[in-house]
Amino acid sequence: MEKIDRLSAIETIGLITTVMVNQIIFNIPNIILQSSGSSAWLNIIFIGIIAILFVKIICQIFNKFPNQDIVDVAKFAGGNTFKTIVGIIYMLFFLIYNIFCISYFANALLLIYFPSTPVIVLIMLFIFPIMIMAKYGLKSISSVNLVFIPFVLLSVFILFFGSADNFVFERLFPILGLGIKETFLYGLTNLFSFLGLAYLFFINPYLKDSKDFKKISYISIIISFIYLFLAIFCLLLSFSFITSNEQLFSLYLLTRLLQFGNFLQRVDAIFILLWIFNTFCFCSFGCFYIMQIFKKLTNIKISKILIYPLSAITFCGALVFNNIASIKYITQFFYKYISLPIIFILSPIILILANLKYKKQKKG
Amino acid sequence: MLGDAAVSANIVSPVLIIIVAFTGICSFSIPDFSLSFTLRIFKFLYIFLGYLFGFLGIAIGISIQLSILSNLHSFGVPYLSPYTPISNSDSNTSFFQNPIWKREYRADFLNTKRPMEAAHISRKWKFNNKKE
Repeated sequence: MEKIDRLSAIETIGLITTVMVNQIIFNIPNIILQSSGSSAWLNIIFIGIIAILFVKIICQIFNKFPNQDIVDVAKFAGGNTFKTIVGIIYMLFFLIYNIFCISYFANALLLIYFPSTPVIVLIMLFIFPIMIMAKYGLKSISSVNLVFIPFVLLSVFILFFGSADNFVFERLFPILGLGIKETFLYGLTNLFSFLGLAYLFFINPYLKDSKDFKKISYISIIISFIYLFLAIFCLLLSFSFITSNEQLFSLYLLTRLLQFGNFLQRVDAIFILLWIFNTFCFCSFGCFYIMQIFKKLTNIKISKILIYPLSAITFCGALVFNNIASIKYITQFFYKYISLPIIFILSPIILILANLKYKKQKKG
Repeated sequence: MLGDAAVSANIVSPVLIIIVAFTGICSFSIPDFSLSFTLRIFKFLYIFLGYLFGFLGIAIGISIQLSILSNLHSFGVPYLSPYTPISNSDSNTSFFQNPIWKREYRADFLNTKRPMEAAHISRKWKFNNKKE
């Protein structure tokens, strides 16, 4: 039997924050700016409040199922078949998301720094440390993450405040951007920017104290909300939203504006280095979840050996895309039409069903 | 002098000289003499990784090395503690420490039988005065 690693609240907050910050790095601000225009900052506040309310509901329901993740809850609600369906959906979700991340980052690095390197080499270089970190287990991932995350958070903060010289406040106008409907009604689809919530649904069994779940959820969602807001706000003030739409890494655009005298040149490389660490941690966390879900579905005893086929699948999946434009298009589709229903429709339905059954059993 | 000459001759950039000097000074902070041998080997490894894949190679090296280090235990105590796993701040061993009167616990990574090191309220006079 494999030993289950238990995480403290700080380690868990670090991991969930990594997932959320990783999304900010991966061009989510770009998609939001595209859909809402100059009212993107209002849109973020709006969806941020909705996300916090969503977390509140999730915490209340999960309270009744301590030390259980959503797959266990699905088993309780609908039996083994339902558990298998939910498990497969989430496994594919994490796998596809990992593939997108690796492929996107490798292709972006190819364009920015390694124009003569074949993309297959870059993808392989990404897969290798992820594989090793995931093999060592959750404790190792969280420990490594805890070393990097303060620097990553600091780097993003420096980025926001370092670019303050270029702020033009007139760019916030018109305040309602592309319109009220686009900001508040169609803008609801931008809830995918809190996609990291999917990782919260599985963290419960790995907590040292299951009472910490509420605290962890709130702190991580608030941190990610602050960072997302800062990212959107700075991008909006520094560039016209049409300019920032065309970029591959919207935050990378901000790093190019930074200048710390003549001594430090190409500061952007430091930021990219830190973001690479963040991507490694994020993807290995996703790999770990996939292995654990697979273990739950198939009742195998040791999940670590799964990392080899999983790495092979991820590697092949990342090679499917021809160029960064195709990844960008498919990622956008994935965010809006696949991840959003899974996190904000399927998961609450499972939890509500389980809750109803729980109440029924209690009455009976 | 040598550095000046190398920069004037355009062999190396001024930043490189500063980084080399900085690395040299940092190497004096290694507490154990024999540890510097290990670090030298790692230095070569990182130079090789940097030469092959640039900063991506260095990132890979650091990530793998950190994940190996975080798995190491010495007499049951994690190698990277108290930084990771983070230690309780109310002990004497944590990275960020509480005021001395609040440090009533032993470090949690030691897994001691009795977690308390001191009595619960160290500054009893303060609380006694309040009651009066």
